[in-house]
Parts: sequence; structure tokens; C-alpha cells
Amino acid sequence: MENVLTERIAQLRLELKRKGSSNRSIEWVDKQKLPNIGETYPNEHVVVRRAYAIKAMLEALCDTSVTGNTNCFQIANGDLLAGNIPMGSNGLGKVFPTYLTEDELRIGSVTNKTEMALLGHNSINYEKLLKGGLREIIRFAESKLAPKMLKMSIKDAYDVNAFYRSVIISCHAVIDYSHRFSQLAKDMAYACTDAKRKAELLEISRICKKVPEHPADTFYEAMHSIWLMHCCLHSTMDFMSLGRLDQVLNPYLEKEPNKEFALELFQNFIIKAASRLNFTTEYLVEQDHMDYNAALGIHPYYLDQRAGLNNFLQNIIIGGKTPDGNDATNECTYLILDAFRGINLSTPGIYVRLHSQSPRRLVDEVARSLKETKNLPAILNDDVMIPAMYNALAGKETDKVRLAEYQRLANDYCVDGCWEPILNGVSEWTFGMINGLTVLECAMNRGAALNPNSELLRGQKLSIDTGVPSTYDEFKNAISKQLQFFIDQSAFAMCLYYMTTEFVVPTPLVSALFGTCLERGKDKSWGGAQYNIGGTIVGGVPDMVNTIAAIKTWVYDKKKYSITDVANAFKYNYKAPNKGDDKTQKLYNDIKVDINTNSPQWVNSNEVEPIAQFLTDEIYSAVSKSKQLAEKVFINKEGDEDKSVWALRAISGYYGKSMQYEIPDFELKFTAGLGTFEQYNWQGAGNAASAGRAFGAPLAPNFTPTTGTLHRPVSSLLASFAKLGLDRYAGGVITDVCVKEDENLADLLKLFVKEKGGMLTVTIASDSYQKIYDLAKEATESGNREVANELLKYSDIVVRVGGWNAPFITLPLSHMENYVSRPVDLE
Amino acid sequence: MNSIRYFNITWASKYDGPGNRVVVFLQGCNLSCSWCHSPHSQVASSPLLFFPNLCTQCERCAVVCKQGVHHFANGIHSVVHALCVKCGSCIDACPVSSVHKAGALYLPTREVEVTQLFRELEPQLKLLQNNGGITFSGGEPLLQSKALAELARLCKANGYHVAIETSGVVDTLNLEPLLPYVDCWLVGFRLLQGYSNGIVPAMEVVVRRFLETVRHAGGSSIIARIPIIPNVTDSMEYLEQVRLLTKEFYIDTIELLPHNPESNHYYRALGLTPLVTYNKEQSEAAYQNANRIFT
Ligand code: SF4
Ligand code: SF4
Repeated sequence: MENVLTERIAQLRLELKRKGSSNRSIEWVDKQKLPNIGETYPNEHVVVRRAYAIKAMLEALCDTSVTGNTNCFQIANGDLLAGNIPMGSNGLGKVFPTYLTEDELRIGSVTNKTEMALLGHNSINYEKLLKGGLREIIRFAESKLAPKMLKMSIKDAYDVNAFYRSVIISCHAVIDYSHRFSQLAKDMAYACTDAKRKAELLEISRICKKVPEHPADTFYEAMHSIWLMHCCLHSTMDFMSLGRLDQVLNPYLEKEPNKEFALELFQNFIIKAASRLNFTTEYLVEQDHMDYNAALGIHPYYLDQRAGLNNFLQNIIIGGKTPDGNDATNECTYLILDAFRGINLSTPGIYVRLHSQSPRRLVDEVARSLKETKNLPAILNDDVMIPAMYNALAGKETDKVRLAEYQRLANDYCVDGCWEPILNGVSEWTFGMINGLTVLECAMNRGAALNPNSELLRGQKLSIDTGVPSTYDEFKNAISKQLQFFIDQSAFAMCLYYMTTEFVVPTPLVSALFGTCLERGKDKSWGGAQYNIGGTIVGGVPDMVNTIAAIKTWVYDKKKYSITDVANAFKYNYKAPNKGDDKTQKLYNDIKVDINTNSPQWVNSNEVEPIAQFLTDEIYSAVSKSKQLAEKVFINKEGDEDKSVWALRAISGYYGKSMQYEIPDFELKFTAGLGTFEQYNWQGAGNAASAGRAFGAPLAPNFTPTTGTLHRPVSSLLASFAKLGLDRYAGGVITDVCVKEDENLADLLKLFVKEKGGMLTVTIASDSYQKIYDLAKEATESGNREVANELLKYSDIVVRVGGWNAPFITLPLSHMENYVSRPVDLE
Repeated sequence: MNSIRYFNITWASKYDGPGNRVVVFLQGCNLSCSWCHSPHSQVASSPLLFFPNLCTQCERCAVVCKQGVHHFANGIHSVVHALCVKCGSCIDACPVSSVHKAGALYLPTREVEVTQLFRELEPQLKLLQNNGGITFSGGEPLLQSKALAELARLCKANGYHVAIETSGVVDTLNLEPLLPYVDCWLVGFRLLQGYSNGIVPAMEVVVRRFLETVRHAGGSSIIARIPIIPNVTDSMEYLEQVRLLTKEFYIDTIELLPHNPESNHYYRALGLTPLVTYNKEQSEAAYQNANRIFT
């Protein structure tokens, strides 16, 4: 199909660009105008209050006295889909009625939990929605309700009755929302003088009356049903991902005679999902609606708000395998890919699953899209991800029937709104992140971070003292022990705080279409999902590899420096702390040159391979060991009877029952991942110098060689994956490459699959990075409006920012700087 | 185990044989063409290259060099190439010269086991396998024909298209070990070198024997790559002789190479004056003229 947009789509895209380039702060919903559900229903179970808040929000969005300038209750000219998502993003926060009580909010201050604490790293079961409609869900929930509604009373903490009531309330809220748009479309149709548009509006009205309440019968109805549901989820705090839409939609597409219309409709869908984009960074402070909840577990996880500005945690996954293991590529796979290629916006994310048996045509189409869009789609390697998911699920299971089921689930994996692998519509996902360079600092510095502040003496004591390693083996040993410490900390914290959201952010609307929640009568946040996956994601591993290689060379092989000298050089960023201390300064200069320019580096030097292998082995093994202890202490019900386990729980600060006490077959499938998301800048800001990296500079983005250090072609990088056993990492391992060449992309993708890489994003470098950076810098420093407008000309240049894609012009300067030195040159 | 010496690798080139290719530039040459743009490739091991634009004038190189090669005066870093013994100490000391890529100071010649080099090349060869392959250039690659034959054999055995770029002015003894493994010859038709403005008969004899041997062995194609250097290789008589030679050996693919505007890059890095200076008008005129002769 030609990459030419229809008049309608071109107009809608243009309008989005126009809006996104202006001050969007006026488009935000005013929280003051929303009711306080916590105050209105203080005695209702929190899950019911959440449902009432969903209802209130969806009503407010259609109430012109509340919506004002938000553009929420309208059907734009030419738009084929009704329903609009209000402003909000992962970086800017969201607006929603308060539904927690004052007491709940005060107690939540300990764990950083508020209404906004919803992680949203999941996808729901859209197939079920299209086949049964919400009415079916409501019927089911009603059949489970106790004969007499126990109004205003909570039977127990996990009140099944309250759960079903909340599902019914929130499903009705979505149906009512759709009906209001049905009426709006009808009203607009009466007033419309253009016969063609009038007919379109009447059709919209008809469809909104039907879906998502009832099953969808046509492609248009199916798209509308998914859109309305996505719209309602994203309007009510749940930033859910979209899952494998080609699999869900293909049966409807096959019956659709007008394929041009289908393409146009999908492009319309993309533009609507992208409607919250900000292309200018001038008006961000006014739009900052974030609160203190941006924390995961006990470790405050401060978002890089600027980098997350245009992230909405919405991905579409296409291609791959069917649950029974056959190739899943279908007509809809190509339609969706075509649609994205034509629109080329940074959101929603689009991921294509490839495997060694993927059709040649799919690989070619993906390569073509990459060449034209310069950044879409991202690639997931089934040959690595399926075994990884399967192993994480299977664990020690031997039952053949269960194993076969695990295989089907693994075959059906997708990724959430960033890139964490999940089971499509059935698995809850949670994760903890650790910074590999901090681990390495602790291995060099007896459990302390390398901090130049003399009042901290050796530095902040973050972990155990593993001594001063005098041989390379001792050094490796120290690294293994430090890894175990940090991974334990992350994994146990994940268990400990796993359920802290259960009475803060229950999600009845998601639970209606999520795994076994409905059947079990348990909200997703109560462990209602059938499968729960937890991952420890380690960042900065490429920096670790190069730094260990350099230390091995100069400290342990050539014995030119002591480990303490190198640690101090890193800590002081190669500047002798005492002025006039020429001897130390000379030492640091020498160390700097040797570490940065005379040491072996990952990919450039084959001898570094064993170090990369050592780290991938050790991280995997540490996670496995953490999993064993976590299961014994927090998860398995046997622990409830065991005094010694009680003691261990007490040490962790936990005095409750095991997770299996409430949910007898509860399991938390632990796994490991390698990456940073968008955090490489912020995480690196706290680290001392390391190989090829100055003090405070960004970490290597995801699992990609430290920026500016790759001097071999990308093919060499891909070849280095084969020996790392990445198919053990169900938490995902993602590599972001930025290349100058747009040739041989199809072969590059095939090589990636064959060499067993995990996930790959490719950005074709633009010649304008430096120019944009200079302009952005000038705009920031001078506040010059003309320069800011000049920048907007580059709004179609999109790059990868760790977890997602973003318009280059909206990145923080530090991210831009990092990008300027990324492109791999083949000359 | 054979080792092989090279001074550069280009990972994806569209100008050195059919399709998109990895090009390995082997060290050493038996000629010294006046227009050569890699003068450092001619000797068995390259002299020290110095790129002043990358130098930060930290003077660390001067401190470690025992031969007194590096001098600093009036804000200028000068290098006395004649004194250098290529020990590499200054490169180790230099903060902007890395073992992984060219920096301010660079000794580009690398000697490595054939099997190891193959391992390093293979990922990119796999990538380019469907629409390209590998080209060995130089220098004169056939001067290392024994090691090269082993490397070419590995490439061929793994299904990669092999090309060799040569002047053709080499003994057939050097050529024969390669014959089974080469799919395409890029022959430079060097019938003169230095400034002589006419064919050197002895060179023509060698080139002719070279072409006869390749044609006799069969199984490979030949592409003529003829440098058109104003006032050196651009006379009507000279080019006509070259043309006849290409006809005689049924060479249909003829690529004329205009004088490279960047050709003095390495002369500067070596502290030398280029033997032939680049002149845009002249080189374009010569190119158009030659084009008429060959089409
Ligand atoms: S290579 Fe050795 S001799 Fe030559 S300039 Fe450098 S330090 Fe001096
Ligand atoms: S060591 Fe390198 S940067 Fe310093 S003066 Fe010498 S060449 Fe220049």
C-alpha cells in the first residue's frame, strides 16, 4: 500500500501537531471540579469507591461545565472514532477524583502510595471484550453477587461482594460514557449539512450505542469497542497497554470488504491514542500534575519526568506465534504495520515479534517501515523471549498438562507499555531496578558508594563490606556478593510491598477483563490475576563490563595501579582533591588514559566476552537465589506454620501471613532483565566515573554499549549476544542501536533473531541531532520564542529513549547530548 | 598459523566491488604511485600518523617519547617523523588516541592471526552475505598471498563473495594460491607509476601475464578500476593502451576513478607534501575526457 495519507487522516494528524505545538495546560481537566468520592462514600469499600470515581470521571468528561477547554466531549471534524482521552502522561501525571479517605492518604505517606500509584504495566483481554461485550461481564458479576446487597458494609478486606459491585459500577460507567457519545453523534448529525459527514455521524452514533456494551460484529465496531475501552481506561488512571491487536482484530478484518477504510480507521485510532502529545517543552511546568507517589517499593523511583513527558504506556504488539506455536502473522499484522508507517508518531509504541520462521514478507515490511519512519517498529525476538517466559513460568513444575499450558502462555507473550514481557491479558507484572555501576562501586570500595564528599569518609555505606580485592578472582567474588545483596534487597522489597497497593489502587475496570479476576472474585491488586511475574532489572551492565575489563587489565594483569587508586580516581573524577598535589594528579591522568583509551571494550575486543558472560551468569544466578528465599519467607504457606520463617519475616519488618494464605495457589514468578528504561541519565547522575564515562554522566542506555564506545558494526554487537544466554532473561533484555546506514535492515533483523538477541530498537540517525541540540540549548538559555518555533520544524524526528520513543525536540538537553554521540559509523 | 597485516577496515562500502562490502586494506605495496592516497600503506608497517585537529596539546606524548619526536612551540605540536621508531608509547599516553580507533596519534598497522581476523569480520559478512561480500584491498594485498589465501579460503568456504583489488603488477606466484577462492578481481591497470607519462613496458608485461593467468583459471570476473589522474594517467595514448588491454581480456566492467579530493589527508598526517596536488577543474576535465575514450 502507498504511504499516502487520506485527506481525513492528514487533517487529523495536522490538527494534533498544531495542538501539541501550543500551550496545552488549558486542556487539562481541573481537579477542583471533580467530586471527592472519599468524602462522599467514606464507608464504602475502597474498590467500590474506586468504581464510583471511575463513574464520576467518565461523567465529568461528558459534562461541558467541567470539560471547558479540554476537548473531551466532542467529535472532531472527520473523526471516525468517538471518545477522547483527557491530558495526562507518565511524566506529567494524571487527574482523577480523590477516592481515598483522609486516613488512607495519611497512612499512604509511608509507602508513597496515592491514587496515582497505578503502575499500568499490563494489557487486558480485548478478545473477551469483543466477543462478549461488557454486558456479559455485568451479567456474570451480578450472578455472583450475594442475594441481598450488603450496602455500606465491608464483609472482609477482600470483599468479593464489593469487588463484583465495583465491576458492575465501572462497566456501567463505560457503557454510559459510550451512550453519551452516541447521543452527541446523533445531535451533531442532525445539525450537519454535509450528507456524507451526516451519514458518518449516524454510523458513529449507532456503533456507540452497541459497543462496548455488546459484542462487536464488524471491524468498525471492533475498533470502536477497543478504542472506547482504551479511552475509558486511560481516562481513569489505568494506563493500560493494547496487547496483540493483530490477533484480536484479524477475524473482523477478514470480514471487512473495504480495506482502505480499515487502514484509515486504524490510522485514526493511532492519532487518537497519540492525542496527548506535547511537541513543545515551553509549557511543561503548568502541566506538571505529578504527586509524590512515583515510587516503586521502598526505593523512591523518581521518574525522569521530562523524558516521560510523552509516554503513555500504550504499546501494540504484532506478529509472532499463536498460542499453539504456529506463525501468527496475518492480514491485520500488515495493516497495522502499514498504518504506523504512514502516521509515524512516537506513540502508541509498536513492537513486532519476529522468529526464525517469520515470513520473509514481514521482515521486509518491518525493514521498509524502519527505513521510512527511521524508528518504527521495535523488535521482539520470539526465539529468545518464548523460552525465557516458559522457563520463568515452568520453574520446577513437572506436571505435563501444566507445562503444556505454560508453553501456550509463553507463545502468547507480549510486552507492556514499556518493554517488560508479560503474558497477554493474564499476568500481573511488578519490578525493581538496580544500578549495576553502584554494585560495582561497592565491590571496589567495601560496600560503599564512591562519593567525593569527605564527610562521608569512604562514601555512603550501601551494602556489605566485601573487603579490598587483591586478585581478579577476589574482585569477581566481591562483585557476585554485591550483586546478591542488591538483588536480594530489590526482590524482597518487591515481595514485601507487593500488596501495598491492594487498598489504594484497586482496578475494577481492568479486573473485569483481566485473567481470572472475575472468576475468582478478586481484584487484580488483590492477586486476582492468574499469573504474577516479578522482575529485577539491572541497569548499567555494559558500563560494568567495560569497567571490569579495564580494572582487570591495569590492576590485576599489568599491576600498574592498585584497586584503591582506581577507585579514588573514579571517585574524584580524575581530579586530585588537594590543589598542588601533582603526584596524585599525574597518577589520575595516567589512570584516566589507560582506563578510557587503552583498555579492552565490549564488542570492540573479543577478550571481553568472558566478562559479559560472567555478569549475565551471576545476575541470573543471584535472581534465582533471591527467588528461593523470597518464596520461603513471603510466598509459601508452609512458612505460616514455621517459627523460623516468622522470625525472618520479622527481620524484614513484615508480620503478616504468606501470600498463599489468602490465595492458595499464589505464585510470584521471579525473573531478571537487563535495561534502564529512560533512567540512564538520572541513574548515572549519582555514579562516580567508570570506563568511557565521566562522573555523573548517563549510564549506557538499556543493554547497549556505553555511548560512543562502539567502534565495530552493529552486526558484531548482535553476534556478541549469542553467548550470553539471554533466553534466561524473562524480564527482557533490550538493546537500542542508532545507525547511520539504512541499508540491509532486513538482514540485520534476521541476524538479530539468529544471534539470539532479546529485543532491539533501531533508530536511523538524523543529521540534525547536533543542530537541534544547539537550537534547544539556545531556546532554553535565551527563552527566545522564535528559536522555540524553529525547533518545531523538527517535530517529526523521533528517537528511542530507553523505555519508549519520543520526539527528539522534547528531550531534556542531557538526553540530546547523549544522542549526538550515539550513531554507529561504519567508515 | 598465518598472520596478516592490515591498516584499515571499512565495514560497509558500496564502491569496492559488487554490492555492499567489507573492505580490508592490507599493509604493504610493491609500487609507489605518485597519486596514491594511502602513502602509509606502502611500507611493511605504517609510520606514525598525526592528526593535529584532534590534538589537545597536553604534551603527554612528548614526555614519554624517548626519541624526541614530539615538539611544542608557539602553540604548535610538530612531529619529527624521521626519528620515530614506532614504539607506540605516545599513543598509550595520549588521552585522545585509543587502541580502538584512529585518534590524534595512530599506528594503524595491525598484525593478527588469520582465524582471529575472520572471527572479527564474520558478523558483518553474515549481514552483507545476500548483497555483497568482502574485498581485500591495500596496499597490494597479493604481497601477503599466503595468509590472504587462507583468509579468502575461510570466506569462500562460508559462502561469502570474495573480491581482491590489485594493481595487477604482481608475480603470478603470488596470484596462484588465490585463484580458487576469488570471485571477482578489481584490477587497477597500473601501467606506470611515479611521474613517467607513458606506459612502462615491463609493467605492461606483468599485468598482461596476470590477466592471462586469471582468465586461464576461469571462474572469476574482472572489473577494471582505472585511476584518472591529471597529467599522470590521463594522456590519450596511455588510456588508449589501457583500453586495448581491457578489450583483449574481454573486460566489460570498467570503472574510472577520478582523483580523490581527500588524497592529501594522509600526506599531512605523515608530514609529507603530496606528490600530485588535487585540482578540481583539471581532475573533472580529465575524467570526462577519459569517459569519452572508454564509452
Ligand atoms: S611511536 Fe614511539 S618513537 Fe614514535 S613518536 Fe611515539 S613514542 Fe616516539
Ligand atoms: S598526547 Fe595526544 S593530545 Fe596530548 S599533545 Fe600529544 S597528541 Fe596531542
